[in-house]
Amino acid sequence: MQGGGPALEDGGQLRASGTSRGDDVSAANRPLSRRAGPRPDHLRDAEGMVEKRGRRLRSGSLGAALAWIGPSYAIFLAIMAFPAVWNVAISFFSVSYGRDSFVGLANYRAILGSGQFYSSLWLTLYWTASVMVGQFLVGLGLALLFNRPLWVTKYLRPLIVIPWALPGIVAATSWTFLYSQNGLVDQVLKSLLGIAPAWLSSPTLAMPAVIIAGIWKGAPFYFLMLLAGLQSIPRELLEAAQVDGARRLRVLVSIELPYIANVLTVTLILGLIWTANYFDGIYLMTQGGPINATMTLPIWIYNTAFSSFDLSEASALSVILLLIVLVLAVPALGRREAT
Amino acid sequence: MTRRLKHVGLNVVGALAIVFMLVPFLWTILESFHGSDVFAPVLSLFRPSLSNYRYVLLHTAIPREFLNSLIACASALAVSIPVACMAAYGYSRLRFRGRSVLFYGVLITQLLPATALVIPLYRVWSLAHAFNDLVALGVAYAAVNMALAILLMRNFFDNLPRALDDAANIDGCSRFQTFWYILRPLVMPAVAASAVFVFVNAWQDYLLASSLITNSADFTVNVGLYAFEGAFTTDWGAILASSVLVSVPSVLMFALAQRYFVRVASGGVKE
Repeated sequence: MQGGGPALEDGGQLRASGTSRGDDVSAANRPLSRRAGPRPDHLRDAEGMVEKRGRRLRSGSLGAALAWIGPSYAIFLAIMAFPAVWNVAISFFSVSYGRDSFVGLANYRAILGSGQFYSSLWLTLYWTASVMVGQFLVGLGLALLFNRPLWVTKYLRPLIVIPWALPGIVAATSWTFLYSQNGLVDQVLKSLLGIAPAWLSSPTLAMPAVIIAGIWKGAPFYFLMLLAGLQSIPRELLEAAQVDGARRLRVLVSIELPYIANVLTVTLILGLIWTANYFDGIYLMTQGGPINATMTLPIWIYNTAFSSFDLSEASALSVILLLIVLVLAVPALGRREAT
Repeated sequence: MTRRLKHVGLNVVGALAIVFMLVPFLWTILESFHGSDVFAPVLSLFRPSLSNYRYVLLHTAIPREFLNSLIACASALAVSIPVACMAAYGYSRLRFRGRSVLFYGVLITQLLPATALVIPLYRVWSLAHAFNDLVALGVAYAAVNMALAILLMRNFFDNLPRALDDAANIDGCSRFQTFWYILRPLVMPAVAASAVFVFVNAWQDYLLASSLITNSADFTVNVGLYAFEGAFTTDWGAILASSVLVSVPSVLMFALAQRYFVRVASGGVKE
């Protein structure tokens, strides 16, 4: 893996030159008359659209497709798609002692009738919203800071990103250690404010404590994405704003953020999916406790399946979670398509 | 004056953010070299000691679990990379009915909560008698990360000029020869990057391993570390040293792939 860095660099250059060459080829071969075909799905990658049609005649046999894509699809169907569909099926059955019986919507009715569902739903929304806002603010702050050519940015950047590369268990361990009695947080708070709350064993403080750890773990992702976006803004644009005497905040809100709106939306969508479904860090720090104070939906699903062994109710819950994430993510996706 | 104050304020906020991002894990690293005295007052004298690492490497299951994780990750790579590379070529170069449906079918599963996947997988595994099989776990990792690897490599194939294919075709190369001798060497950067991502994701996994591996001799390092923490809650020295050891491979790999990641995530998902 030692050659990884430079090899990737080469790839970047190759990629850029490849794009332009590819454009030339397809543009040269493209007869005008074929452009008008009513194929909306091809409008998006309009380059080489005719070329595609020609190729389909020459080599578009299903056999070839099967040979190249088949192996990946076999694995995908067996381990992702089939279980996912089965999961939905299980949610309509009652599974106990190896005997499955169809119960219709009973599992869903049981879930919607239980108080834990609404408390877990609230905790999931609370967790997702706070973590996303926190990660966005920390990531944006860091990206703005590191967007300036300072000596710190060069040496600290790789270190800043470490939390994202850590296994969930390591992140959870580091924070549990920080929050533990006589740990660093305790020592600092005691000397500054004279208080020493028991973070992870307090029902009111456990959730904020876990949220802070969650922000820490995921902020590097926002940082990397937003920094990449900010660095793509043309300097002239910012200089023009400066000449016009725009204030820093004004530049951020009126120029920088709108310019990187696309990157921002992708970041937020991925962040939403990952955060709402996040399991490792919370579970490994608190198992959902104390007194269910951190029992977000993913944790509840896991406990229902592997502690109470109620697989069918857990399946129904995971379908509900998927629907919630979809409901939250689809408008954002639609917005992205519109821009 | 207020302008200058604001500038200072921004830098203070930035510095706080940096401290927030750096301190937790650095503190873990620092204290792992602190022998058994991990809760000593912050400003006390620090005498570095390797005793925690010696203990973890000689007297715990962590080294063996490290090996188990490597086996699972290696199987994940061995399965996912060749298969995903072929699929990426297919999605990029072949035109057939339903191509985009198939492709987006793979992508959409990324929305699934991992916890939703674990429940049916648990049943699939019991049907296949695949529990405690590290290679089977690797295949599961391969499946979970397949979409990412295909996406990454397909974008790379897409950006290779078709003229290359045509030239090879005219010179009498078969489709497979074109793939193997002409295009494959050119997509190696994307292959390397996908390999890094599959490895890092597999190395970080707790959820799948914890439900598909039940025998403690076959625990991966994450599950093993969690079990160790449960059994020896007070042995913070050993726990911290293990944590540092467990994070080394994924941090190293991630450092190598970081630049590429941004390009993939900000451009690749765009479609």
